[in-house]
Amino acid sequence: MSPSRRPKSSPTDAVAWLAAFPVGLAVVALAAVGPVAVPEEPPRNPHAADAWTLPAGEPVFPADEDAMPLRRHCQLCHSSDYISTQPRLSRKAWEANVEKMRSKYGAPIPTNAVPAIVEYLVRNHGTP
Amino acid sequence: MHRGSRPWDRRNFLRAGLIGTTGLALADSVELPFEFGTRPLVKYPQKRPLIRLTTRPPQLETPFEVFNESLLTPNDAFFVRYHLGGSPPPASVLDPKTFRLTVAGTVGKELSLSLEELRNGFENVEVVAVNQCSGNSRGHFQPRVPGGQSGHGAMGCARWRGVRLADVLKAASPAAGSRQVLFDGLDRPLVPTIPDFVKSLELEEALESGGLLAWEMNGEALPWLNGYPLRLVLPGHYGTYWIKHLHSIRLVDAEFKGFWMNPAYRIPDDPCAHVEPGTAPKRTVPIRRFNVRSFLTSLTSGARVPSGNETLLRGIAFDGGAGIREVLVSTDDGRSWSGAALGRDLGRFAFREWTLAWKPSVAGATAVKVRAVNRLGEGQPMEPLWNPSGYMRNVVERTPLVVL
Repeated sequence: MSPSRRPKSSPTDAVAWLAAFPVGLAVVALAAVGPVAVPEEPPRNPHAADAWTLPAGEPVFPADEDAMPLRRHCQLCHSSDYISTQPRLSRKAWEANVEKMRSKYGAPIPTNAVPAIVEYLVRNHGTP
Repeated sequence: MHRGSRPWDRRNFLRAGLIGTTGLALADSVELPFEFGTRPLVKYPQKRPLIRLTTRPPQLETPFEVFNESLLTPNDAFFVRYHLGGSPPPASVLDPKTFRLTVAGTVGKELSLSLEELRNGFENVEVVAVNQCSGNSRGHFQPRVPGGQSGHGAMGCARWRGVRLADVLKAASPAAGSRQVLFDGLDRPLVPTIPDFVKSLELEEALESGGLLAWEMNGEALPWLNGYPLRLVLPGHYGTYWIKHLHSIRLVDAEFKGFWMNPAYRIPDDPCAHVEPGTAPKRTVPIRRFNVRSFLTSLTSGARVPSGNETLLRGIAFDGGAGIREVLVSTDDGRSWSGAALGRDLGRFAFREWTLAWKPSVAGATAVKVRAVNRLGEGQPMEPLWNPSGYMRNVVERTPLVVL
């Protein structure tokens, strides 16, 4: 990408930032390789002409009733794969994490929404 | 000849040959070897399909076989890790014509520099350096810990070009009593209560770090998702300090206490950054430099290797800047060790290639283990060390194989 190729657009705000995030699945997988001579230099970037647009779509929390607090309070800042990729954790660990998000990180989670969020996390990613 | 544009052709050919694989297949997803380890392969701008850990903010991991293709990690395969809802910053705030880097705070002379002024006003220098996420390999921690569940692909090695951080700091004439330097990028939180991603270094450390303000990576402009148009490159230090889209440097006369220095990105205050699994450290300090790591890259877990033929084992090793002194390889799951040959030295901050010819004679299951030692004599533990944030994994890695 050369700087001169960059598209022009208006000054940004939070909405412009938000507008940038989406998803798409790619179809090529890479498999392991055997020994060959290793070049020092990497190959040139073959995607130089790509637009400044992220893939469309993103994973979201389910529309179920018990996931509603996460749709409301967690999804503002992050996609649901921030949770779906997490390991199983104890109730205590989930409580600590939600509390860290709320009080240390400053996520706008009302105190009365915390128990339902923790319940969802324990049910889906709790240690048995 | 490079094969960056269509790497799968040769791989398919090889797969039909003697090297088999497990865990990876021609598909739109990969399975990392831990629970909830299924990840889609997704194509992002300027990137080949990468392992997506998270969508917003984006975290993309390099497929591990890329580390066997070249010592420098291609820009289109280099990992991506953002923290804030407003990431990556949109093109409109990254316009190279209006972009300015400011140096302010406790300085004698405030600076506001265009990219051109940076380029022309200071000596241009290059360094080959590894960037590695603090939580690279976190998914392998046992017991598991919360955080970004990366495999081994949140690392990469590139040739960075820019100007010395020290030269720019000196040009601003730090005032007496200046204590720390704060670095801020153009990515930002979407909610005002959430702390901006700002990192700090002691001024002395910043002056002596060998850090660069870099606009170029492997001979090209930084990719959008790797910090265009300017980023901090802090060789030997974890990626958390390598602020992307860097636009503000601020000197202060007190200790910075922002969220991303405390409580985030801290390790147990112990020489090995570890505590008893499942316990909390009594004292913590900010994470800083890489420990020693090494990997086998030419074969992946479950590969089948013919007996009686010579197989060239290859991999990489790196550390926080002392440089790699030796790499030892075991082909019998750790019972005996042989010294590997070291490849070209691209500098003490770079991936160092190692190779070892191996002619297996006994059929059956075995495992290859690799361990490196740096020029300070520091090595890697045989058993994993644990900390509650899942940082700095550097256990001797084990790759199970089958000799046919």
